[in-house]
Amino acid sequence: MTSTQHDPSDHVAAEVLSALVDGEAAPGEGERARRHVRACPRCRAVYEGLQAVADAFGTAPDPGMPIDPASRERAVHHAVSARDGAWHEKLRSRRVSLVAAAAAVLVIACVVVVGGLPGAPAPRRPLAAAHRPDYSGPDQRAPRCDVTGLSRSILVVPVSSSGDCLVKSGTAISAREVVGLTTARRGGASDVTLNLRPGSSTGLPREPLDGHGPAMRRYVAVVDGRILGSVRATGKRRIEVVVRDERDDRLLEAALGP
Amino acid sequence: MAARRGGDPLEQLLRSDYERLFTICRRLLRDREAAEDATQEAMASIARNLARFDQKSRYSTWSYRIAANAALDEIRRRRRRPVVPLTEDAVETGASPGADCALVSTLTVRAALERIPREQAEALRLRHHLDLEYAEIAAVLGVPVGTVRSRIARGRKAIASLLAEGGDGEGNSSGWAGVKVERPS
Repeated sequence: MTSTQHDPSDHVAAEVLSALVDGEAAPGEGERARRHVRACPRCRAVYEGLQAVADAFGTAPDPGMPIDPASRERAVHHAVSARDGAWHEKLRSRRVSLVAAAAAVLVIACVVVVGGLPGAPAPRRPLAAAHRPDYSGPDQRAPRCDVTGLSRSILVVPVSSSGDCLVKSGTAISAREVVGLTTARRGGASDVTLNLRPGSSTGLPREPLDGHGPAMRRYVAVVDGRILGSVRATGKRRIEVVVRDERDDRLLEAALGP
Repeated sequence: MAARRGGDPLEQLLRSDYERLFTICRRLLRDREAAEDATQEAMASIARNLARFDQKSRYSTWSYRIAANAALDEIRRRRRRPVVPLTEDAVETGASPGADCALVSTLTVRAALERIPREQAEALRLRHHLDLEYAEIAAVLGVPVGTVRSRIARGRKAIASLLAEGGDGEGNSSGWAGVKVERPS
């Protein structure tokens, strides 16, 4: 096979020649191309041109650079913040879903209560009383809140007059924001105080939260979907929680403590 | 709290992985500041998406792709800036027919990469700066292997044409003897 014997239609496509440069041509295809290039000056020139471009990349020196520890720490901090931000976004989306589901349940319940089931007497018991949890004793538990995705975080949520957690209005506080956690045990309950780092804010009303202040609203502290107890008071960077079970303040410490 | 922060598995993972991710970005970007920016974005992306990592591939492969794409994103951002003319590299470095051909080639190829279509330049960067095989490039870019092969070939032809234009008219002044390919029709 010589160059003079080649018809232009026999020439090897540049794409195949380029793959040949990289050793990426298919076995049969590569062998045919190699034979052709040896015999055809035109294709050999193309091949050598492509090889020269590839070689030019190979001459680029690798700019070895030592790691800057400060940059590494900035990147790690930025990444962790991004993760926490994604959690909050997830929580917001869950809150919307939860509220939508709650609204749907409420509408259905209202229809049943007002309209009554066919052939059955309409229930007279108030809806709120049926779902209202009792927080007075250490063994009483409110329904779990659907916030299990928030590991290493505490969720402070208000309780509605019907006793339901108003997750939509809650505040998520991550372990990163907590710089101090103190526990004072008294009897079966504990007073746990969380102090947040400068720059953080609870975003909660700064008043007693026992349901008797101006807001008339009670708050509960939730960790991993478990309600640990009532939030007694908050400051701009302080939260006081009355935990009713010793096991729960250990759970709180494990989740948020140093 | 410092000890607690250090105990976060994600932090530990990212801290130990930083050098590997930075190296990927550095080799693609060839600039410390840009590589640090890209690495930071890559790590944020890993942190945001780690929960959705389906483990169909190894973590190292998955994070490699994220880092490579973060570096390519950084290149795209920087590409929007004014491009240095192809011949200026040679002027700035005092390049002449007697200058170090390897250095001239490197600089002119870098300049030429800015002038060819982005998709072709990205495939070529992944091939030559990261030494990836076509299948690996396809995985990073999310395109078929055949597309990678085509982009690399067209990119090389385009660069060869640019370098031939940037020479002395003979295509030889910068050590580019042999870089004579047919212009795309």
